[in-house]
Amino acid sequence: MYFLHMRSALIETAASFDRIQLADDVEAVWKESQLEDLRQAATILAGDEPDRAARILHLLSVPAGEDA
Amino acid sequence: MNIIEPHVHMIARTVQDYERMARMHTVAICEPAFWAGYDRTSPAAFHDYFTHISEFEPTRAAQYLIDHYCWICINPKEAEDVEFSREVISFMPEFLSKPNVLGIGEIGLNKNTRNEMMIFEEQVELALQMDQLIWIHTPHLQDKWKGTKMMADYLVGHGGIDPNQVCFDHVEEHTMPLLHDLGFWTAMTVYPVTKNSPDRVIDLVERYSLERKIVDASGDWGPSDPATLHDTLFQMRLRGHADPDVEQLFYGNPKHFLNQKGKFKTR
Repeated sequence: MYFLHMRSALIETAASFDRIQLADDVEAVWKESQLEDLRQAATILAGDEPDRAARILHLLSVPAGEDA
Repeated sequence: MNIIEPHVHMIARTVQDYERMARMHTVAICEPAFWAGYDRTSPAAFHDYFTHISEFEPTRAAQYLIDHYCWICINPKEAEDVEFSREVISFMPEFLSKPNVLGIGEIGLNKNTRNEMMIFEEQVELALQMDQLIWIHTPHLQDKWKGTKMMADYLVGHGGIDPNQVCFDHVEEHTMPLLHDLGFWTAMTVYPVTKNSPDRVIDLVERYSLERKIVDASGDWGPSDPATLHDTLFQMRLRGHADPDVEQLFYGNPKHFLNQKGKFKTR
């Protein structure tokens, strides 16, 4: 059952990237830092190191001690 | 806005689903013949099943002002037993002549075996002999691309098939380009996990146009929900598509495909 849910989540994410790439204002959107964060998250996902979820959450977090 | 659900297995659903669909403006539904979750022990069980979906199920639907139509066939999974399948095919014409039976379906492939393909081809021939529409089940998951290609190649190579009278169901991003280019109708199924999401269906419509496109929820005995059809309609509206386009996808297109033989006479 894990496989089907992981497969589904990956395809949904891939489809979301496709959707953004086909948007009218793609040039502006494509360079947004949030998207770049997601690309880095994909690299973490594909790697062999453990704690992928925690590392992705840190990647997507404001560093501690930083002013709001 | 009236809605048509082109693919739902009501034999596996409760009356509450009829009520929900009626409240969401579903005016007509179609029930293709399928695998019941277990292999039938005799061809006679199929006769009972065809009688159920062509006679009893319409009476349940009518209580909620929904028109019920069905399709008749030996499904891909049980088609592996060739002699068994041929016995079932032998009494299909009796049902195909009924006014609420729209054609032969959902035929297709499951594991893409030679036996499955043989029975698929024999049912295509019956459809041609009896001038029937064809509704095709494409395989699940890892078998979908290969099976879709096998069936599309066969139908194109046959030379006598009008692609406008054939609908391939459960189409996704990897099978859409082939089928769209060949001129077949394509249906996109919305499932919680194993098929399309509402977003992906509208993505496909935006990339490949509304032409010959249908959406269904394929509610059955597994994880599925007739309301995902309406979730997809709402997603299309959220993206700003005009109401006439939404109505074409969820009412006009299925009505056009299903009524090519004059049997689909819904509101």
